Amino acid sequence: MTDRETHLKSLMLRGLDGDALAWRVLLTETGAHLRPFFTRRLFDGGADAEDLVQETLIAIHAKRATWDRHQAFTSWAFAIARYKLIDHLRRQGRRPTAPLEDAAELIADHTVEDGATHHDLGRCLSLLPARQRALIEDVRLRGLSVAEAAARHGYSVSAAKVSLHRSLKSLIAHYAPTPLDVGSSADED
Amino acid sequence: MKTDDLIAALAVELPPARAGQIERHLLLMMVPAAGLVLVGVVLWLGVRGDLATAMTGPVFWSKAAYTTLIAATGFWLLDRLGRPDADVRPPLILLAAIGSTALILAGTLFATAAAGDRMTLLMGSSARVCPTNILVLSALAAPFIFVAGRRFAPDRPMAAGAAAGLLTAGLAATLYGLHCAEVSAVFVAVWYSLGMTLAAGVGAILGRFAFRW
Repeated sequence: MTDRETHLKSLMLRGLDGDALAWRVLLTETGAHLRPFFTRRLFDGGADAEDLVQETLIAIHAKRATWDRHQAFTSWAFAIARYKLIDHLRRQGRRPTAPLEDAAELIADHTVEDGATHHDLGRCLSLLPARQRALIEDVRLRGLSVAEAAARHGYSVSAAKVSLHRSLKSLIAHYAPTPLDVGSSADED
Repeated sequence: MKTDDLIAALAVELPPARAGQIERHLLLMMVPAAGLVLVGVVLWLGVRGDLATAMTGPVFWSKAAYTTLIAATGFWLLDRLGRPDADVRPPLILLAAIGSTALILAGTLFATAAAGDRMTLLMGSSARVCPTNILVLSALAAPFIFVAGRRFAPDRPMAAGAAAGLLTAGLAATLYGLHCAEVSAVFVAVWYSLGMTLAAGVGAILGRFAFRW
């Protein structure tokens, strides 16, 4: 710890004198210490940790004149890191953020193509009686298990399987150009 | 951008940073700040007619010493608040000592004065305008002080803003002494202090925005 402080402090002093190479080493080593600091303190799996490492390094660079030569370098650098962390959390608190993956899902839901497919699918399924249709939508589109969907719509599990099979068969009979053997897909079993 | 690339980019051009360069810059910026306040005092308020004689007596210099001390403490406080992890207690203790000394002195003078003189001691002839005059004059100096202060890295921007406000107000109040002919220590301790405290409060709000980094 003290060794690290002495080492970093000497790099800092050389950096303040304009030694670019020492500065590069200092930023790299400080970055390596900052990374676990931020990762441990963020709850989002550290996606923002690298951003904060970079922000802190930029601040260390830009505000290097605020370091007093009588001060410990590490406590100065971590005071900056703490400020950047609090600033980050405050901003996040004010404006809740969601991971980009979630947003992509939201956007995908609203593409024109999806809308059209949705509409077509609804028209096809409208052939079926309402209770049968609800069952097939739950199992095939919403991803419920057969048992869950059966319970929801008041089928026994085996009755639900039969109903699903029949529904698919009648849909295929209606839309497929040539009759297919539905049973071979064996999804219901 | 990858962190390694960022570091490489930062370490390309590295002008040396000298010890105390931010303080020197702040001191330098206090010169035009004081110049503008001086212009404000002369053109807007006018210099007191008996300035030459007043400058030979102790009252004028005592007032100037009090406000200069406040400015110096504000400077020291800003300098400490502006450095991450620096110890801010010494300037805070000094500030508390100055403030309490002024109030105790004023309280004693007020209490020991003859009842009929007390109102004059406290209100003088300009109590109503004194704090606002100091605030307005501070506003003239503030841009220089706050711009220079942006070179610091305060982890409490509002506190640093208050310190910068105190520095600004101390500077403004010192030059306000060229106009203000009040001679009572009670007056100075109350109304000058109120003006400078208000300026520190405004400074805190300013600092919240000006001192983000």
